[in-house]
Amino acid sequence: MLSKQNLTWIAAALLCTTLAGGAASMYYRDRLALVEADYRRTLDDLERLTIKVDVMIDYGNGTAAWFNGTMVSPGETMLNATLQVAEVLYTVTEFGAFVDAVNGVSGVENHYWLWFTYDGEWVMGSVGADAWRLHDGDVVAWRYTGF
Amino acid sequence: MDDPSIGIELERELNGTQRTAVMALLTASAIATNYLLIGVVNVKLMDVIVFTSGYLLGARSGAAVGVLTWLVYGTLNPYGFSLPVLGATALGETLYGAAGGALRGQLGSVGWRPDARLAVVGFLLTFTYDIMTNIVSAYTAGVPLAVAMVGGVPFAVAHEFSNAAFFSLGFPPLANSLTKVFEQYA
Repeated sequence: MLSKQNLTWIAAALLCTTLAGGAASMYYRDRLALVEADYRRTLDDLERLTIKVDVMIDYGNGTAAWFNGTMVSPGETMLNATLQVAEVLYTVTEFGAFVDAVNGVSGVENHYWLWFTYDGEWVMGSVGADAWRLHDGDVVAWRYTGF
Repeated sequence: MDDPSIGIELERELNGTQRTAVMALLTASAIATNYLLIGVVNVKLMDVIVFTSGYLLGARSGAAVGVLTWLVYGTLNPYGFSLPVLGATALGETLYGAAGGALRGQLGSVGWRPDARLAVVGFLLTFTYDIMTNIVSAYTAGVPLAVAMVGGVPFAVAHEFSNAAFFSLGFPPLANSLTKVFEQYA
């Protein structure tokens, strides 16, 4: 059985650990608030320097993936925006970049990766994806299209 | 020496001149170790020396050693001089001396080996000291109190844990060896 004096010392030791723990948690809570505020400010700065576009990838087998709010630099090309959200294999020809595979999907006979923009309806891209410049709010898509 | 009354006996045995000499010796030691550890922020042997002064010579003498140490170290300090901060640190340092004197009976035998109870004493005294000095420093520097308190946590923690270690490991051999030396001359 512990004596009253020993219990007093143990209580005092626990008080020390409580004080140290409380001070540490107060400090790290403050640090967290600072880091979060810094993160929000950086995000605001980043948003002023970027545009947001929605990118859809339709694999032609009933599967489609949306990458909404993809942040890219103003004037970024369709191809570069796609490179941010997917693994893309492409060939640069005299007519522009030709996409061969998106996320490993390729090789089906008479199927090609075509890109589209949305403006009330889907409109097929008229130039190479590396020549189409995006603007804030654009909605674009890649479709593995068969002929 | 394991006798709990070593401090009380020593206090009684020393005459006025001897007491003054011992106080001067301990003050000089505290000042010297402060300058020695000038590059290590908030890690100092001063507090345990002042506490030991109180333990050996009584609360008032211990408090006086604390004030005298700060009068020198706080005035001739490479980090600058501030009268309000000097007042707070000198007053805060008296806590250690007063506590050393007040706890002589409570601590009983301290022996030569590390004593966990002294780690607790060192931690709590330093916590109180840090709160007090941080409040005064905040008002002196015009910094919001909450910012000063939170921003000072890493320094306070270093101070508190180092003092816990110094009190636990350093106080018993320091107090016992000083007692043995003083016994030769008392």
